[in-house]
Amino acid sequence: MTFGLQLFQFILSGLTTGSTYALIAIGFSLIHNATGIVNFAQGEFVMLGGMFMITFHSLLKLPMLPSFFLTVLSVAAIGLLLEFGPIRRAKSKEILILVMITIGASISIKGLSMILFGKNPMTLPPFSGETPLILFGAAIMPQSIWIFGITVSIVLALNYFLKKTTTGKAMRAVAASRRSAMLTGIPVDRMILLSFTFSGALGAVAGMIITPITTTSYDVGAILGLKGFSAAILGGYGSMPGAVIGGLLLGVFESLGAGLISSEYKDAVAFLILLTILFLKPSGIMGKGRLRRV
Amino acid sequence: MLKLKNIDAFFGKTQVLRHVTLHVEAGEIVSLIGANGSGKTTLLNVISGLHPSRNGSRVFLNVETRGMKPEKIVALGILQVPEAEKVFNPLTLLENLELGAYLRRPDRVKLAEEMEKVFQLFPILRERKDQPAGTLSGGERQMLALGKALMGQPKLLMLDEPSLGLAPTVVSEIFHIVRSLNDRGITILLVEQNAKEALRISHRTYVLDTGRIVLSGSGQELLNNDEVKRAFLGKDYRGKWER
Ligand SMILES: Nc1ncnc2c1ncn2[C@@H]1O[C@H](COP(=O)(O)OP(=O)(O)OP(=O)(O)O)[C@@H](O)[C@H]1O
Ligand SMILES: [Mg+2]
Repeated sequence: MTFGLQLFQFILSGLTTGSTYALIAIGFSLIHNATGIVNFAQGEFVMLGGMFMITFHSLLKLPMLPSFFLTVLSVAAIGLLLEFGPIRRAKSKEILILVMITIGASISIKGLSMILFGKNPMTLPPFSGETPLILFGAAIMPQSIWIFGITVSIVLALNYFLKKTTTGKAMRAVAASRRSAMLTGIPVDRMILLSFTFSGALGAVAGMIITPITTTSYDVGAILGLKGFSAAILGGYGSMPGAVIGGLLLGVFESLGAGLISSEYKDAVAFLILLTILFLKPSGIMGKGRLRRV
Repeated sequence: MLKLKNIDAFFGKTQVLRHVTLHVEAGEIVSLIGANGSGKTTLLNVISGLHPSRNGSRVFLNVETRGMKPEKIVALGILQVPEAEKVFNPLTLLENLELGAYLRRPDRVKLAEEMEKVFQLFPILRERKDQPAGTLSGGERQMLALGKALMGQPKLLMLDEPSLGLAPTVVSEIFHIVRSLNDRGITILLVEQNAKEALRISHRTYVLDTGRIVLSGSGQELLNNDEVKRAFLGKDYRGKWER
């Protein structure tokens, strides 16, 4: 294989995992924009996505499509409950307290998952076979196409929602100014609930599409969350286009790092990028030069 | 229309409103004046449900509004144009106006008609309808904020220092608009530092000093009242006395 082709191959596989990071990053951004907090349970949503899909599809033998939607609904419901329960009922609305609550939720979800799903790594069959397609001499797994396709559809749908529907505009309004949104009559609580629900759904999808490639276990949430978080920071925390760009870039950097240097450093790439961005341009690629008020 | 009785409000342990009692009748322009930090903004936020009040009652059109969420209070017809963060900066003018009608969710045709009315009132906004609100000048932003509030079909419109930071010509335009809105039947509660203008256009005025209503009366009465000056320059005077 020529070096050029190899590079192309790395980039393709980077874009694949990067798509997943993008979805996770969008989840972080949605919640951040609505509430100003970092949701540390975002990675657990992703883990749950894989686990629920395995439960519905591999264990309960439900067909692929119903399993997919059941998983989205289940994890979305968990996102909703996280907001409707502990976050909403918190006595103090201090950002730090709310973030602590998400950390607590993350630990609880992980612990419960260990009990429910066991400690062994598990995987899912790819959505449609394992015969690679050849594109310009590079091999692409069908699963990668699924990952791309699903990510692109979700990004487009979310963009339509945020830009064209009244509820979507109201969500952006809450992100722009919570006070002003309240004075306009926008039910801010409901928008926050929606952002948690969406983030759960996005996490679920990310988990389901990546599991056939990477396998999963009860403890993958932290590292996946960190990747999505780094992607969000890289792109500009809170920015939707930023989340997509950050996710794809991080995926590609990681893949190049693993391919050209050593796969042992794969996870370190995310940390390295995170630190570099925080040192050099904390507002990220699409950032407006300020980290939003809290 | 609006009756506040014995309202207390706090920031932590600091009391910023003390037994505030006031009323606004339908069709009036009532202004609220007072020095920096006297509690004007807090009072509006209490009425809007953004800031909790302790004790007392807040009745609007015979409905007790204490403990209501802000969106419920907006639904009753109380709209506030705040001093800061008046509009949604990243959203376009059209989006801002559309959200102004959020609670009523008019259909497309109705929405377009209502926006048209706002554009007739503020023609400058039409030219910029697809721009993000953040690109507007201060005066234009104030107009958009008013337009957005009008989209909510207010019964009581509360304006927090609408003239703040605007050029004199724009200020008189804004006051002119406030008056014309009142002529159309919208009741107005106006918070101003620009006391002269406020007294001139309002039917009645309350003077707030460190969280207390210290004076009230018609604009004319207050313009001729020495106490008004004292209440305004309260801080300076006190400063001298204490020295
Ligand atoms: N977020 C806050 N935390 C603590 N104290 C506050 C806060 N906001 C306002 N205050 C205090 O409450 C008092 C009333 O403030 P408020 O903003 O209502 O006054 P104001 O009359 O609107 O003043 P201005 O003319 O400057 O707008 C002031 O003493 C102020 O220092
Ligand atoms: Mg004020």
